[in-house]
Amino acid sequence: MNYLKRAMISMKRRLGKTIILLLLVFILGNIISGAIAVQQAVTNTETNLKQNLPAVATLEMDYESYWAHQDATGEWAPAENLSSALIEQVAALPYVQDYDYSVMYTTFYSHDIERWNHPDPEFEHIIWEPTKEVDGLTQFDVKGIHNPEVLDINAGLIELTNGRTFTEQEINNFNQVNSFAIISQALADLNNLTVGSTFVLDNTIYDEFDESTWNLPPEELYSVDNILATESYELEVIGIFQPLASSRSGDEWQDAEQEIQLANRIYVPNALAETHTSFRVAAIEELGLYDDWEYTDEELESAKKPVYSSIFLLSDPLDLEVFAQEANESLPEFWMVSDLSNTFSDIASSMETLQWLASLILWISIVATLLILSLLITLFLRDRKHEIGIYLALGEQKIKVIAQIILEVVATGFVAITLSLFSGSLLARGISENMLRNDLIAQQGNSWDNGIYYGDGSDQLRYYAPEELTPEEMLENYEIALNGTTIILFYSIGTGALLLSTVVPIAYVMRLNPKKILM
Amino acid sequence: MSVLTAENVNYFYQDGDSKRYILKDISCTFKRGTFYTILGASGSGKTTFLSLLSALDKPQTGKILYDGKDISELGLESYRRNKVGIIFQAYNLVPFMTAVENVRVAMSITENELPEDQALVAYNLLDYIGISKEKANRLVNQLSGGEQQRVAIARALATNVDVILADEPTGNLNEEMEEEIVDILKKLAHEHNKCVIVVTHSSQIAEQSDVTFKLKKGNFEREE
Repeated sequence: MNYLKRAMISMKRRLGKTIILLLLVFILGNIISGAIAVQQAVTNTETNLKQNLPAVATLEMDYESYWAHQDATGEWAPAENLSSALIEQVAALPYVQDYDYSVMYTTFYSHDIERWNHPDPEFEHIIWEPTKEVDGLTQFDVKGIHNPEVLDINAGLIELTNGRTFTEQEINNFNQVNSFAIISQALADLNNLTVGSTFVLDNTIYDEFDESTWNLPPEELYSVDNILATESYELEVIGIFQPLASSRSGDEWQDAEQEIQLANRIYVPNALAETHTSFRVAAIEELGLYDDWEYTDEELESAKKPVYSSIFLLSDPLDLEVFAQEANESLPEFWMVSDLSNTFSDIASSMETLQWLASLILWISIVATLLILSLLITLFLRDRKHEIGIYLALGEQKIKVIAQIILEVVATGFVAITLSLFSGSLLARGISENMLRNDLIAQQGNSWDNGIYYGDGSDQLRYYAPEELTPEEMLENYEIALNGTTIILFYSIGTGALLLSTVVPIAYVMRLNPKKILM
Repeated sequence: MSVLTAENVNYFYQDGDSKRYILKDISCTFKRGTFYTILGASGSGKTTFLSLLSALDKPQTGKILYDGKDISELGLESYRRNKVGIIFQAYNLVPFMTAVENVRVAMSITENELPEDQALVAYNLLDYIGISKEKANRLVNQLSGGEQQRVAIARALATNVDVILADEPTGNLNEEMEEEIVDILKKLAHEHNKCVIVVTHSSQIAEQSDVTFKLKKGNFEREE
């Protein structure tokens, strides 16, 4: 009949008090268990969503801070364009698996090849084509690339169905006479082009600078008489690509726009795209227009530099955050790293709210457990003062009496917290899922297209993660599961709370005097 | 040789600057095989003296010696655990345990060497005291007062101690039961060589003891 056996007899024979303790711990345990389960579910959901995010990022202007600067100071801050050297510096970070950068604003014209148009007349005007009404003239926004392997293939946006990608030499040694291009199957079919065929693109500057030309009809604006400068490039087709199904989002307007853009995409070395800028600037300079516009030397220097857009593919989507932190350190003011995690800001904020609420409930319930259990156990011990006095009078060590009490509390409590582990998770699942669903649906209006949570997403990034993510799909990632971490955490907190709640009762026992109790 | 000795024991309460003595300079010895009574009226300090002998309290001055050793050096808890068995007026049994369980509680606490089959020993002890096995398996609050006091006696004996201290053991019992209990205590002293010390206000019990000490206004004297 040691203190262990005494504890078992006590729990059995004083069943009413044992049940009261069990019920109390069960109720409090449900709250703690639910809060922990929700916390773990939120963490797992964020991890799952991030893991399923395409690991793409880009560098773009932080217009929010730029405009905030203007609002605060009344002046426009000089906006520095990113150089290729800076992009390469960011690309050198260890998280980057592949990257590319392209010159932006590269409109070339052609009398040689036609543009592909969407067969559905509904989407006829989805992309603005000012030369559409000009016979025999088409325009193309070529995509200059630095990466000879063509990043869009690695990113799963397109697949090469014929021919090859570029070589390093072809990327680096561009010249006007001997240049290469990769075009779409649609464009190839429309213009009877195959691998080895050639076509001509014109880098033409039309006089659209004068106010008098602004309202000219297209056939006059883009007439031969209105050309200020032009030079032609003959390009050989070295590869033909087909867009992949993964590039489709399911939204017909977005897909139509992307379909048209990809069909008319011409991949060329960046050097060719850069000539668009240098030729244009040189021509405008020669015409004296920069003087007319009163450009400063800095403005002129800036105008001469090509504007790059960049894409970085990371090895692991979970590295997006650390990549952004490290890349941001290299970027000039008003530039930032943008990735698709920004597009989940709505669900992230709902998750954060839930996480915060779960944390708050957890802490409150732990404190409540400590207070309530301490009080209850102390009250129960007051009823057992006589019994404890007997043990002490018989010479039992106080430490063993304390051990008996702790054992009774922990044994009863352990049964209760084990039951509450399951029931608490079930309750939390129902409540938290409803909360999250209601919050997500309430925020649905923030996105630019119902059901698509791309509220703040970069246009460029959209092509790499086009699929819609509905609230239901997001909720599928939210799962309250009893995994090892949740169970260990719950038992640690639960047992810890049980033990801590015996501190006050133990102090009570330590002060007991058997003589005063029994005599 | 004495098993228990009180040496110049004083117990008082501090009342401002003055002391209110409950026990004044008490010295006496107790031997094995003897049935002692300490007689005194209510409030005479006899329970206080017993609490000192049973190490439930400590004298302000003086010593209590067990086999010549100061019990405070032995450790008061250890002394109660291994050297003495205490019987209380109100029995002080664990109410939600059976009679045999109450006896076994004491057996599990003591560090004295006991037979291996403690359950058998407990049942035998209870039987010796007059509690059958059937009653031994009942909860103590299902037993009569006399039976409960027998259980308390069995508990005190179960730890194989030499000294039995009883505080008004028949205080809650009728005359018939009182006689039975006193007979048991006498038997323990004379047949089992225990030192039995009973604190009582009953002169009838005192007459049956081998040695009587009288306690009056803190003073302690042996009655011849």
